[in-house]
Amino acid sequence: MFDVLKTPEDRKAFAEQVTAADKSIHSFLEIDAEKKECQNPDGPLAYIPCGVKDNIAVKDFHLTCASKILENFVSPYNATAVEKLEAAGVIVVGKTNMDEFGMGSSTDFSAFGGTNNPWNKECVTGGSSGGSAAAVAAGLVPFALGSDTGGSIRQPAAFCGVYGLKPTYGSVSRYGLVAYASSLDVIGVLSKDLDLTEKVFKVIRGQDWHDQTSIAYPSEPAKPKNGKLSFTYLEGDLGLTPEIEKGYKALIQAIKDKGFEIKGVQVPSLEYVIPVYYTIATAEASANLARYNGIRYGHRSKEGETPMDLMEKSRNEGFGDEVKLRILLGTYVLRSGFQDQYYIKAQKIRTKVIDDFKNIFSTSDIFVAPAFPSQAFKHGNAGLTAYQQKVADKFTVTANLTGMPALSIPVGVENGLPVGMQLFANYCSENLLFDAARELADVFPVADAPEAL
Amino acid sequence: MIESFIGLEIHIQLLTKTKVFCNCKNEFTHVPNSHVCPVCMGYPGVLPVLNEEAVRKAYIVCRAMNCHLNEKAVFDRKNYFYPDMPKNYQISQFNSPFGVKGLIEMDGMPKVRIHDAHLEEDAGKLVHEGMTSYCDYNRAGTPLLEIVTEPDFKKPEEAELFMQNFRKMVRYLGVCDGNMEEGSMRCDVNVSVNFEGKGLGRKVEVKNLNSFRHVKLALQYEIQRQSRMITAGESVVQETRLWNDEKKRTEGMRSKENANDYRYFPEPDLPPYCPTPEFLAQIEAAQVELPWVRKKRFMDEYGLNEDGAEFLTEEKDKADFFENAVNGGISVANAASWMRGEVAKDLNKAKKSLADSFLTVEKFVTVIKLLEDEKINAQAAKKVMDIIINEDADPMQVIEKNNLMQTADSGEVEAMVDKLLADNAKVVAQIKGGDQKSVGFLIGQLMKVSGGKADPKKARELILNKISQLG
Amino acid sequence: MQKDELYITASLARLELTEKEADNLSQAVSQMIEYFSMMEKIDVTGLEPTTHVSIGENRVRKDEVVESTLAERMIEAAPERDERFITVPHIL
Repeated sequence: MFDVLKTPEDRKAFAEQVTAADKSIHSFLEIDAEKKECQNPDGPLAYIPCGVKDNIAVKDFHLTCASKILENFVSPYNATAVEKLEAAGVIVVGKTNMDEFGMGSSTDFSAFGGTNNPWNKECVTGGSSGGSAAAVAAGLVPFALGSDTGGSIRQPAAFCGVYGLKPTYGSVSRYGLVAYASSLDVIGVLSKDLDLTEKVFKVIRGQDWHDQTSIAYPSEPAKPKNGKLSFTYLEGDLGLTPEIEKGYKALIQAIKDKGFEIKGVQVPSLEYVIPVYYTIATAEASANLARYNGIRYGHRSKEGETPMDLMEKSRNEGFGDEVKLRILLGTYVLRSGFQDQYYIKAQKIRTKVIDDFKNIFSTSDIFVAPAFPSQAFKHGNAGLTAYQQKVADKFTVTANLTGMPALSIPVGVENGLPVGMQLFANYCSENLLFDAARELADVFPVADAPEAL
Repeated sequence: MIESFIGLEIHIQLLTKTKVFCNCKNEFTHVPNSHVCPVCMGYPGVLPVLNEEAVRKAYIVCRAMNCHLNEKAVFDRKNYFYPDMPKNYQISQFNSPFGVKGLIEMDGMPKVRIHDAHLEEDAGKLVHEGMTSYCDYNRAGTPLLEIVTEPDFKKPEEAELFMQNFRKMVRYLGVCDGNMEEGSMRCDVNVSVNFEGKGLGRKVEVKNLNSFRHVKLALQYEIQRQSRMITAGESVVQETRLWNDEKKRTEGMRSKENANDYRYFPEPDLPPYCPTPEFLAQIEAAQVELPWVRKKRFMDEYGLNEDGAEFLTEEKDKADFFENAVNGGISVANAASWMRGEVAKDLNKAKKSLADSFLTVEKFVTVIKLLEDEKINAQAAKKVMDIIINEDADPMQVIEKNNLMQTADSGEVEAMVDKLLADNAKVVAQIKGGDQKSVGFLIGQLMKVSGGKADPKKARELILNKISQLG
Repeated sequence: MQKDELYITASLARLELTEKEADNLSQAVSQMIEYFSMMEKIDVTGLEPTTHVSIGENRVRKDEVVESTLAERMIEAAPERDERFITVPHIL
């Protein structure tokens, strides 16, 4: 793997080897190792190459969001997170594949073809940051940026056996992240290297005047409640496959063996989080995607005699089925006459979920849960249907509904596929997540996918 | 008997340097799509950033209208598609705007309840030509304050008068220039009629009104149209109509744009706004005496007639100028008559406004005081006034340079009169014989001899006295 | 969901749907809406809706002009334009 790209020879070698290695994976939608210069040779991340999910703006790279409607769109500006990385010396080398507009849990909903899991190419990478997860798992780049609205960093991280951080909502500026669900979206990091993940997080976080929902990250790190980290884990009939069940039990045991306190808790509101998440996410998405109508940029239909006609055709031609489904759902739950029972009801249940987790973190530091009920499933009909994928999101969406941070950690390999778990913490307590992960790193060392660079 | 119920929906463009949600210039330009950025063009990945000056000006208006200022104001998305909409939703306020339940009271008009005042962004502009529409997003993102009144107006004239005063109010507050013809202030009306005592009728909204006159005419037309219908037993269709100024009538819109479900929901990209006590104190300090209140006070306190008070309170800087001048020690009569007369004339000639000119209250008071103390005469005063309006000159220097001081020494003047009478014996005889007109000739001569410095007012009396003393 | 409800919703979202798409989508939408209806079971008395997650309040910026240098680039990105205008077919 290329840890740094210092010389033009490095860049050439990178372009050749990574392009070749990516042929069977398709984690990148665009690779260009020559476009960007290292802006800070003395920076904390100097010369480190990274991939950026294709819904995060990098100036002069495409910003397709894996959609036909933005197929030829080139971003004229940088996301703030990217500006910060470049100021630290990072070299962006490409844009990674994803589910169209972040809507999906497989990356197979990309309009430009799915991504193959480096562990088993018949399987999906998970989504929607599947390209970033695969690029990192295949050793193509040391780290990649992703985005997480309902688990889109953590689930693919778990499927590909890498670390995936979803930071506290507002801790990383959303300026330059193409919005899917504005009150749920966060930019985050994927990497095999835990320390690098933390380093990157520290670089990209911070209040940004371009984003009035961004917060000033506290300068003092969070402290464990009682001197030492204390844990809770999700109890109950979770519907896990045997491999995931095994990994889950192993993790809980490892925590006990390390001498930490860990208690099982039930979270009844979890039963409702999927309808709550999809109601809120699709509602916000229906408005966020309204701007894509072929008028000012992006795909415009060749037909359409009136402006409305033109918009409708451009959107029909440009959006994939899953995106259309979610736009329709979101429009529906906001309609006059339906808003109370769906959208507003969901927002109230959201309050309950937040209260439940504030409770959990009033007496403990880290909450442990699976990332997904199964390992990476197969592409196509052999895998999960779109509907099944949605209802399986229940472990990840809570962190987006509450806005609290969560970290996916690899906990081993079963039947040739990774098993990943999640650690949750209270607002602005990412350091506790990293501390916990570090404690477990020797029990669960990161494994390399076969053929990884 | 048929009653009418009229309500107004007013949009004012706030005078800020930048747009409401981005840092683009908030200024008219002829170059299309030049004051634009990714935010106001609705590009992928951008976010709105709220302008503090737009907030401040919005609250100033809310307070001036006696609105209750919500403890927590929230922005909402109003969702609809149109080519001039960069995001195809407008960031506005619906459920919890800055101000609600206000009240405006003007003499000679029913009390007007304000339903709410909310901050929102303007859309771009579409220009149609042939088979193409041209989109220009310079205006997209301009801060707008929308003020919605209850249907408290009963007559079109009331609505017109209200709009005229409302315009003055926003100019007094310095938040908007209130120009309907240029579009910085827009007004839609809603109007319904019903038989007396039956309550509100079915309301019709009328748009495309570009002047106060249009407001009145459209309302008159609609009331007539609707009255005829209900008298004939027909029901009025609840719809939006456009005013056609060529044909002087309202017309129904062809497209069914009426049934629009805006699906309002709170804007997730902007936190709520909760005005602090410090902020509210600033808003309080920015309040001014409203134009119609000031006008009435001018009539009561200064004894001005309606026309005079109207003139002097037309703009705040004029009213301030007048009051400061009177407080500076000159008479109300002079302050008013000079401002309405010579000053207005000179400003007009120079095509300047009071603020643009070099005239200051101090200089004005200096000149008028000299006049009142009879140190200069009216002619001289006019001359000086013209100069100090157009040049940055000191009135005392102008007077000295041009030798305009009236001869204060009455002894000198008496001596001049004596000489004049001596030199014009024939005229004196005529006057003694009853010819009053010739006094004017002698006054003229005195002005000539004194180089204009004698006091013409006193001249007549002095001359007549001297003549009578001659025996 | 009834087909006409779907068409109304699609119209509000400016999404043209073919007959076939409408068939497929109305099934998928119905399935999700059915799933959403489980929210009816939970009691939310006394709870306020969460519209913003812990992001504070009163964020404002100074009223200072920052000229964007991107105007020309954005005009060029328009699918159809006439000089500096972005064009669409005329609304009738």
